[in-house]
Amino acid sequence: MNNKLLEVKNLHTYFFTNKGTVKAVQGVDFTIEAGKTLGIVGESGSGKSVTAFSILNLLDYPGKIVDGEIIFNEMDLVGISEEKMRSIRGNDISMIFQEPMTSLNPVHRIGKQLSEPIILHQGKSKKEAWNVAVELLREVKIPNPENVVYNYPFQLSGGMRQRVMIAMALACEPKLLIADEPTTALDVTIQAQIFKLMNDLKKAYNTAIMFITHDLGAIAELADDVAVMYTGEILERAPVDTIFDRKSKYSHPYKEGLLKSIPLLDEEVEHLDQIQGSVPHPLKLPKGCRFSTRCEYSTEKCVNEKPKLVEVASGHLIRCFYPEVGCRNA
Amino acid sequence: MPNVLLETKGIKQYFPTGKKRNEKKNLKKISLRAIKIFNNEYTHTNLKLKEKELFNDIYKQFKEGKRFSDELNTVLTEYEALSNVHGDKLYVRANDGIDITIYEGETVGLVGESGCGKSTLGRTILKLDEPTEGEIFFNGENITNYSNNKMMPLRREMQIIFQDPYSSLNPRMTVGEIIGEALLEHGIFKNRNDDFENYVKEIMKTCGLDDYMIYRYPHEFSGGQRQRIGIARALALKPKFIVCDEAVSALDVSIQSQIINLLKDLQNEFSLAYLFISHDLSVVKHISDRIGVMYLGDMVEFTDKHSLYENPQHPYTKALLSAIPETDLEKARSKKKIILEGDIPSNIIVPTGCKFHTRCPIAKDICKRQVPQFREVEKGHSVACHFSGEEI
Repeated sequence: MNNKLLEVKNLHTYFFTNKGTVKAVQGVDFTIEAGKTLGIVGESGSGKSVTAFSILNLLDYPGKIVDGEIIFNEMDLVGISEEKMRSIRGNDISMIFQEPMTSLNPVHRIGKQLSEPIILHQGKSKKEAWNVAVELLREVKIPNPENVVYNYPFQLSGGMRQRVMIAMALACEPKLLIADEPTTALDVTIQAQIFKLMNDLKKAYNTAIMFITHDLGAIAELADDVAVMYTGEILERAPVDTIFDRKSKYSHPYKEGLLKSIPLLDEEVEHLDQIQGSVPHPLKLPKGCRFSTRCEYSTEKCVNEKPKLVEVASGHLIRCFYPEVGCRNA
Repeated sequence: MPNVLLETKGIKQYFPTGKKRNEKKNLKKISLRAIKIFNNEYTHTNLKLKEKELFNDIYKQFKEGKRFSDELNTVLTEYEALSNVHGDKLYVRANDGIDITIYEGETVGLVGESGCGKSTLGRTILKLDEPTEGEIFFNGENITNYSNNKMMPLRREMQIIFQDPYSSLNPRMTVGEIIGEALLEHGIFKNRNDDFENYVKEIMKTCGLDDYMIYRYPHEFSGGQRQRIGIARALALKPKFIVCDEAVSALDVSIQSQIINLLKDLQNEFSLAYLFISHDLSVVKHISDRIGVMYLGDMVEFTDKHSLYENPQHPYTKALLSAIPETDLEKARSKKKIILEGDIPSNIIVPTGCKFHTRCPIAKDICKRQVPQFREVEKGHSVACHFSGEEI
């Protein structure tokens, strides 16, 4: 087992705001192997994006990594110099951002933006890089790439911009690709195109993908392993088949609630099951189990003590005192 | 059979872009092609003629009725078609003739990709935008040409819930003021007395908001709670009909199910009719009785929800259904995926014939030329496709 590409151990990222310390990420561990996809799913404010920003060292003031290790290719990325980080960012690890509309520079041509990382990291000349850019666009199935390189971002549609973002992320053939909600702003038919593209590219380049989304359906489509996050902690981590197995012996009540609250296409129900309440305020997190305020099985122990992430079956980790389905008090 | 609450006939909504159609480049290209063909097939006497003059000469003869070879004829016909639209004013064709009927107490769902005109239809039905063409009937009255004053009493019966719970609430008004504004405006309460406050509190309670929140401002609430405020505002006048314009799209999954359940409960309590606009097909299926699928300003399929999901007829509906990511892994892996090529075309210069032919996997020649009629293939199941129901 030495093909771990990225290992995140006990990561803590806090934001020191005037109103108090927001503990956005608290003790997150996971590993990604080469060529595999890890899906991170959670509601807004669960710390998914902050985890990704921590890995790339893109945290803005007042955010700071307080504790933990991020080991990428046997190198610890926490506390690394900015200069060294710059040679990794966009080269070994690259990122696709959520908003294809705003993350491209509106005043530069597509070709220029695409060739920038190639010139920077691979030391190619402007002309060579330009040709590579055309090839990259062809790879992400953009029609007529010879002309599109001369276009500005506003001339492209949302789906095409997201393809350009993917092409840019793939420019230096990264070992790890972080995709932060890459299809949230897109329509379903375009989303299906992008998923197919990402799956094909994963096979072709053997790239590991860290896929961040709030859409459980998208996770089911792309991921090999899944981590469910809630208020900065991983509540459940397992291979994708186990996570979506509705008859599984073990499961976390939060994930169960999430699965039940999505209407299924072939099921007729009058009422959807719902999780009560809403995500607790980041400055007023509950003392014990984070989910205890909304959990229907919550007991005294849940309110006062904090559960640990325990391996209940091989490869299946759950942070709950009562991970076994059917053994909880109703 | 319940009563018809709302009916539209051939609603068209065109927004002028302020630009004229410029086909100069295309016309030039076509004229060059025509000259090339002409030079290959005919020898012309006057070799000194410039290209432009030569073409004008050919085109003049063509217009006067002279026929050349088949190839040249088709090119010249193409030139004629384009030169006819050159200089025409351009419009965004948001809705292109839509008929929809909504009965009392039912939910009609509208799905489609962004830019297909779902929201515009919702706004036009409420007369927030004047329709370019077509008629709207509400409770049997033709309200198409009603003035704002005349619309006022009707607006009590038709309300809207907006998509973005962050920007649709005035940040400088308290929740009580937001919900109660319409009540004062419509003269249900003369001033803010105790009765008024109790009424607002009651509405808030039905929407799952506690009554102590009445003096708070929108920024103090979470997204789900703000959407509840938006729903309470729509409900305050006890309407018969509510347009839900992507009412749950901006919310997290766990909050989304709370709001959907709330909407369903309210429907049972007040016998409301909804026009539920969303791009999420599984949510639409859950809440709607009948569903319309829209593409580029046209209704392409309209039927009750069971036949839409079990027996989709239009290739676009099939592709949409297959593109939904499933959380059931076994089904997700066995499902046949139809991945559409390309993007939605512009709705300013729309494709000829069937608007979907540029992306349709089963498009034939007839689709490019002829607009398919929106016709009933089974009882209550209407489709606009030449090859409806064909395998992909």
